[in-house]
Amino acid sequence: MHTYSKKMHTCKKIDSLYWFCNHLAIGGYEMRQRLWVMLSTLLVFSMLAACGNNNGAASQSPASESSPSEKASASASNDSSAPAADPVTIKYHSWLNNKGEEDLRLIIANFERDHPEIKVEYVPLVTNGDSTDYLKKLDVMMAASEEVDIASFPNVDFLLERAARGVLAPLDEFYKEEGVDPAAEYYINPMINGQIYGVQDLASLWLVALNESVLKEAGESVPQWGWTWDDYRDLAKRLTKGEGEQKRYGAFFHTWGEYDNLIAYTERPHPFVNADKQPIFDDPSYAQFFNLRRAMEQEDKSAAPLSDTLGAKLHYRTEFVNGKAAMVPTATFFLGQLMDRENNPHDFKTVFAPLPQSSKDAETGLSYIGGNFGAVGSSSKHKKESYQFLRYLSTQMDVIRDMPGWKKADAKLVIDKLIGDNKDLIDVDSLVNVMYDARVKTIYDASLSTPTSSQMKKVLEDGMSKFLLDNLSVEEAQQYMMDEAKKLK
Amino acid sequence: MQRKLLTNAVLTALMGLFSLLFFAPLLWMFSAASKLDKDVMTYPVRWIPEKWNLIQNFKTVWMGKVPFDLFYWNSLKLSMLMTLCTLLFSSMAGFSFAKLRFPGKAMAFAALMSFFLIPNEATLVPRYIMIKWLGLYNTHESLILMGAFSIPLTFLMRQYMLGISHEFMEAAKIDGAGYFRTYWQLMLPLCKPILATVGILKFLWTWNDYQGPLIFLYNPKLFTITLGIQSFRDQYSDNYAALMMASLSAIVPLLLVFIVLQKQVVKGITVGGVKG
Repeated sequence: MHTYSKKMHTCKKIDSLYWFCNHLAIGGYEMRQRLWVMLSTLLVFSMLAACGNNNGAASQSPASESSPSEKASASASNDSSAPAADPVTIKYHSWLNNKGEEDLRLIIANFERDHPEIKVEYVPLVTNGDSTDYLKKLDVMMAASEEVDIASFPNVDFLLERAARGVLAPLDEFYKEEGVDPAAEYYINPMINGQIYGVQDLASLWLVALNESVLKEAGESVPQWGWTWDDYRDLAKRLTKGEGEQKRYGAFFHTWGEYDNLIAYTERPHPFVNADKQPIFDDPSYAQFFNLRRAMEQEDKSAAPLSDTLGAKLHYRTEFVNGKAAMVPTATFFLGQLMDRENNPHDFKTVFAPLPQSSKDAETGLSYIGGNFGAVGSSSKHKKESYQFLRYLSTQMDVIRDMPGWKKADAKLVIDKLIGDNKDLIDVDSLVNVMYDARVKTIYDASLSTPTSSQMKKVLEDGMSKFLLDNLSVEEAQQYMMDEAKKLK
Repeated sequence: MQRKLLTNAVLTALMGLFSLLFFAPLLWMFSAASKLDKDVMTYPVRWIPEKWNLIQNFKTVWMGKVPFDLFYWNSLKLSMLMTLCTLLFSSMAGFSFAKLRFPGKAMAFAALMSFFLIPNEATLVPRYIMIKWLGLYNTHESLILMGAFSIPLTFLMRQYMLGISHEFMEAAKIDGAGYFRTYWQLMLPLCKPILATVGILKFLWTWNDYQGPLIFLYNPKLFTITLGIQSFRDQYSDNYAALMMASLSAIVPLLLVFIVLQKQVVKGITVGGVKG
């Protein structure tokens, strides 16, 4: 009966096409005939395509192979009818590839072994390891209301931007249910309107990496907690040597916003805004750091000029590893690159010092801690399981990828696993001294982070470029940044 | 006479200077593709490599771990199919808008033009939802479907066809040609220059498209050259020499398409000029 009515329907459609062609008064008889044939062929084709789609969706499946979310919803619908023993599948979205992906898969395997009721599927949204492309793709997926269980973020601001858009789920009730205090667990808890939206799985503590051979050659010792940016400038001067192509700079500042005012990043609750979320580019720390950069670049000539860094696309990694710069402020993620002997071959040991402080009077131990975060999508049907995995990911000690975001991690174990047999390249004592000094803490207040934070960073980078390349005065540069920041509202 | 010679000489010199200016990035690309990676970014720029590494870079790109030939083929396939489809559909649409009379023509054209104002990015999410719904996510068909028609190019076709005298149409009608024959056997041959222009533009756009493949493709085996080139960035941690060699390889089809079709464009201009 159903087939019959379908056939009748098709016949009617073809009839009406014929009528349409005849009454449109276009072309001669031959032309009408041809048009009729063309249109009806098109109709038949479209019907065939639709049928093919219905029948073949399960087996044909480039979509089912590639778009894991459909599998998730399939498994979700199974869950409602099937016994509870069926594992739930959650999807972890990230940009990780190569080594990062291997490590993650290992962690997932360990988790699944301990939690047979949950399956975790890794969905690499990009294959080039580029987190910017990843975020673009993630945004399209989320805007299309596609189910995203867990999304990974390389930076707290990126996470909070999405949380403000309402595509991420708050985690407070899960913390409450588990009976843990997130503030005691993690260095940074991404927060908007008093609710926490992410779990910090990795922390990147900022520090200064120094070339030990150069340090010894100059008869200098490793700087200790409490040293200031003035001390940094003096040391850079003493470590600078040679001229022209052979020149070795004492220090190197990369193009990222962090390098334009590390004081604001370490000693302010937020580098760009105050408690009222108003821009603070007129803060004295900006003048201090900008002047330091100009003095080191132009007077002391102890740091590579920004024009060279931009023009020749200099990178802190290559400059440091090739012995062109004796010390660089960087973070613990640099360790992995230093130990990558194949891509970054070098024959000296790296020692570590804490980030300098603004003055002798500033509080010692204040640090800038970046990190990697995981968040649960508001469209997820398995928020609790996703939260469980994020907690495991952040607290597990079997696979150490970087410094964990978990405050209670066993320092010795982390260092042992992180460095392994690379003690000839990494000085463990100085690293432990920096990473696990009892005074290490951050006053970074993630609740101040606004959806415009990443644009403010761009304002800072532009401000520094104008200051150094267009020779603006500090006041002019600060005014420029304030004006630009206010436009972002 | 002498003054004219002088003007010509100055003009030629100026043109030469400008063309050199535009040619410099290409030269740099070739120079970088012939260097060792560590020499690429040396400052000041050394145009002639100290140590030639062209063959090694070629091997890294074409015979290395990255399936560059596959990316190349994917790009070629997509660009050619999308260009052919656009040529067909846009010329058909252009023909009907320029030469046919049917109810609602002006409205339809105005609607089409207003769609042109909507930026591509704004329709990204709806397109994503639609492609998912059609079950075409992660297929080349999705890209072909979305790129088989182009509003600006349809506009170009229409404007050109408006310029072709209506008497041709009448003559064809008197000779008993229907609309399709008029379009196929009369209009298309007359439109060769604009078809060539549209072909060049569409091929160029498709070949260089990054966003479409990034959002709608997931399987590396389906990747186009724009996504594929990124592989050198990661695997060899910003291997500029390989990147430039890959880019150099990537512009070859563009140059070929341009050289082949450019003659048509120039011919069209001169024909139009003489008769105009």
